[in-house]
Amino acid sequence: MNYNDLIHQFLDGELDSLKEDILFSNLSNNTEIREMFKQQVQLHLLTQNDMASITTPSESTNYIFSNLGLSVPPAEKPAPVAPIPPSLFEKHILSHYNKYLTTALTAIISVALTSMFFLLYQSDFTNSNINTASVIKQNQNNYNYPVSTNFETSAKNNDLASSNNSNESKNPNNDKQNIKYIYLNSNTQNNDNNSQIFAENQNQKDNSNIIKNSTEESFVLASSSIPNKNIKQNKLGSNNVNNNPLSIYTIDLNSLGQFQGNETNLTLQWRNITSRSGNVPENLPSAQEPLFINQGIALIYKLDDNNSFGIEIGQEHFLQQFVRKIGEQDYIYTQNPVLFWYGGFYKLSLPSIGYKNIIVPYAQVFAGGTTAGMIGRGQLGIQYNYDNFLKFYVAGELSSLFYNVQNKINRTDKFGITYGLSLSY
Amino acid sequence: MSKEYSKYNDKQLFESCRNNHISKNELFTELYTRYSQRIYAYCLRVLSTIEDAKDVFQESFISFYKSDKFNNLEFQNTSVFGYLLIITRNVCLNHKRTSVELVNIDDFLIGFNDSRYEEKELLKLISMALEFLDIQYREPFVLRQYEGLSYTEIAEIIGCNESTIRNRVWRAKDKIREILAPYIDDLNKQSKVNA
Repeated sequence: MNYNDLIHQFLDGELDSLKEDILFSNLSNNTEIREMFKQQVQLHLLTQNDMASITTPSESTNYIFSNLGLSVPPAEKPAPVAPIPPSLFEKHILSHYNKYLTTALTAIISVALTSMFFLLYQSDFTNSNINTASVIKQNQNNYNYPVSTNFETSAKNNDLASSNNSNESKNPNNDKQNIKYIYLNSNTQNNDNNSQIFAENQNQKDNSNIIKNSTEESFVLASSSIPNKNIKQNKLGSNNVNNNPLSIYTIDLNSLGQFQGNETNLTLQWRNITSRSGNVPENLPSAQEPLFINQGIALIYKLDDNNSFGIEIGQEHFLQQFVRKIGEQDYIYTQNPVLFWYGGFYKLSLPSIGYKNIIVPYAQVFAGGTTAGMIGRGQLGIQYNYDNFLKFYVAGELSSLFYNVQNKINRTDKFGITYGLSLSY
Repeated sequence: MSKEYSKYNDKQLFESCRNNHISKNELFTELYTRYSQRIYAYCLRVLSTIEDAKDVFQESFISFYKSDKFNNLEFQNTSVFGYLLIITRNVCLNHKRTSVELVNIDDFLIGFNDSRYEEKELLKLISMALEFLDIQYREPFVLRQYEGLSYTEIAEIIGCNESTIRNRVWRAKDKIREILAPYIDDLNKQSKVNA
């Protein structure tokens, strides 16, 4: 096999994966082939650099235009040169870039949707339109978990549920349609920790009496499914409790308006970016227009009410204008690439100066990288807490991209508005 | 002006000219701005001297401006750059027929005697090494490596089949690599030392 031709085919991007494997296994074993490969790559890069170093002589331009009776064009920028192919490493990264991005986005969206599903499923227990709950059944030896039934169900359905277990409690008022209170069995000594109540009271043998003696329709709920904030301790008469040393919690379903999930620390945020650069033409077309553009996705961890940290990825237009020296002449380049960026940020929320913890001002600083260089951002904005689950943001944003051209650091500033929403877990 | 028209492709520019939105002179100026560097690079690397390259380059663009195809704006289905290359190539071939190509081997050896090779110097050596190649290898090599054309496009311009062109480009690369191998290695070693 002619490995020299395989190298040429590889550099031309025409080598199939099987031959590529053969080539690379030989490259790792054979010094001579490896040397040949390195030299070919070097030659490839050198010709590209040579091409970039060639400039049209101004005297030739003058000659042509004066000969044709035309005015000489200003030497503002060079004609586009043949694109410099990426290095092998860049090629490797670029070939996997779309795949990784798609996978990452798919994973994030899947996690978000799955979490939302479970969250909403759980929220059914706290919603005013509750229609299911777990009925805790007891027998003489232990607690039996759970038989599903319907809160607003008919007596028939309740009987159906009850008939599944001969030891199950019977509700004497199951013909009532509207339920105002739900009583939850609990140990008086562990009022605040109702999730452990049943386990700690396995020796209680006649908890079903609570239900039997209750004057209003009631069900025993699996306590873990009920948020603490929706549970009020209800000091009903001792008649209701029988001799069981359990306190009774009342859940006032009427007080449950919009969804109020538990306060959580992890948030998934999406935002759209409408910022633009002020010093370069705004209508410059971009070489590529990917689907996911001028948007960012962030994962935020909330330390406390004021401090949060997060990581964020996104893609965005960054207009660039820089001077590049080719030969003895300076050329002004203007381009508008789409850059993939990533980084981490710190967010300072100030609920104390907001409005009732619903409108919260915040400031955010971001530092990260792009495929072109470093990027820094600052945000000042407000956050609207619809509830603990859903939040909306709008902010003013200033971004700066730093990139290196011929050992000179250039900067592009962008400013504008960003807005988005977040879902907490 | 280049800024103004840079967002339009060649086809759109010709369409604008046909609709009298821009003049032919403006169209030519924009096309010159776009392609002059690439055409000059071709001339410089295919021909032996800078003076020859300038002569051919100037003559090519003047010929393009005066061509019927440009004056009749007949570029609906033709690549402007491809057409420019064909004109330039014909001018090149005519120029070569009328001039004797001499390679000064002493200049080449003097250039190669220095033991330290910066990349800039290596670029000069590439152009000198190209002169050792026969035109039938040099030209497809330049079109492929410098102009970034596909083998199919090169085959159309030169008038050979694709596999022949591919073979010539590869052999040209092998030849230049052999010539420059010691200096490329030297450059690699220097890069490692500097790193």
